[in-house]
Amino acid sequence: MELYCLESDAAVRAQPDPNILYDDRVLQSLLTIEDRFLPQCSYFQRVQKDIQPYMRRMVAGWMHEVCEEEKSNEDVFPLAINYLDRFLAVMPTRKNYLQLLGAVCMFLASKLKDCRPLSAEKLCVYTDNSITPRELLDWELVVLGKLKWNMASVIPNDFIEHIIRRLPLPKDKLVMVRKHT
Amino acid sequence: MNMEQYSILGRIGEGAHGIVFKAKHIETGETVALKKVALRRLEDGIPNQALREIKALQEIEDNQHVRSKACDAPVFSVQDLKPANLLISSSGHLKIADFGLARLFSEQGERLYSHQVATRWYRAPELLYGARKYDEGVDLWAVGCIFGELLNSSPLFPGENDIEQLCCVLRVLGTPTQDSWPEIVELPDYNKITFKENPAIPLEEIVPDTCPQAVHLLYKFLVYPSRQRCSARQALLHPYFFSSPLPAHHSELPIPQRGGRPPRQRLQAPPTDFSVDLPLQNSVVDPALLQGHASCL
Repeated sequence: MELYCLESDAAVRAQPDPNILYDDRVLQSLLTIEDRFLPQCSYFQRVQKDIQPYMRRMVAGWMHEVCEEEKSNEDVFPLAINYLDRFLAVMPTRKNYLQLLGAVCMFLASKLKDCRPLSAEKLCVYTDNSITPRELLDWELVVLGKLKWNMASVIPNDFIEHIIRRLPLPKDKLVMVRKHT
Repeated sequence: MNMEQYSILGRIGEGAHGIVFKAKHIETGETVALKKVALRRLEDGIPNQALREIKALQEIEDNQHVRSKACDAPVFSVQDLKPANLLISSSGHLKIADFGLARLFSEQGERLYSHQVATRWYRAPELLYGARKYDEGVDLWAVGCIFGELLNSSPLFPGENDIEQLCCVLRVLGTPTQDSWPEIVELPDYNKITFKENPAIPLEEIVPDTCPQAVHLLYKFLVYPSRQRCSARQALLHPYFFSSPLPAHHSELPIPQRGGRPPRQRLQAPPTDFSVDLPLQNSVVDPALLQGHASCL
């Protein structure tokens, strides 16, 4: 009996499950539970005193760059933005904590979606060390608490495959359509 | 969560990702299961296993989800089905616990899965051969193993290690061939290890003194190609469930006693404590007590 090991580090990915994608009940459930994860949109007027819309745009742009640079799963960025908006909708926050909040949201979203989640240390480097790993971990608990540990948000990406499967698209164009969604 | 709200009553079990305790909520008197998750890598905060587990349990709270998981097209892979993870609630409902390894398939696919998923005795052969792409068939294999264990009161494939696990399965199902399992040639660990060829042993000999319908249903689950395993939906239509003893309404099932409540009428005193270390027969109904009610026992 010969035993040898040929483990590789390559990421092998699961196939889309037709049981899910062709079942209308799944799409219906997604639409129903999506509501639970929608932030109250008017938080700039109602909740925040310090944070302005352009600041959200800046931090979102930075978060997008980090996710691109790290080649994170494509769900990480929209999920992190969902956490950010839900947090800001309930918690008045000072603007000097906004980037820390953005980093925490990516930290959490990456843990849910990435095969190899972003480390605390790496995220701190991306802020040019304006935050510390200690702050990141402390705020992780604050954000989890404020979001009531409901981290499995329904995000726009969840609908893409369901919609594509229902459209009369030519097979050879599928890859391109998916890329542009 | 504040631990002072609970008093620990005992230890229920231990998995790869944490220890589960039986505890009592002091204020309401409710008995609960608490899972203690070790923070191994303190520098990275809450472990992603824990975040994903909470996510799965929250979805389970929705009754509709639970029902669709039990009977309909599988939308969910549990990946760690085993007797120790099956709980019976005070209302007689079966609940599946320990979702530390559960990831919802309902997300867009294309994710990495680990091949070290299911507890060894209930692990499907494709996982033992290192499969990284797998489907709900791994759960249906585990269902077959659990069903067989219920029939026999002992595990069907009690391998001591991963290689012995494969030996146990191959001894019963016979050495796989390209005819009986065409996909085997694509599995990562195929050809890394060879076993002495042996023919399959009829399941009637593996689960002796069992009614033919039960054996027939067992055959439907314990097959090598994952896609040929009987789906949950098909299994519910199997003659086994339409022959005596007929499935009972959950209100008629013997249920474990919970502190403070008067026990419902039942056939025998239920087991009061569960432990992964105790033999399964301590936790199930004694077949002798059901004789006269059940023709196949």
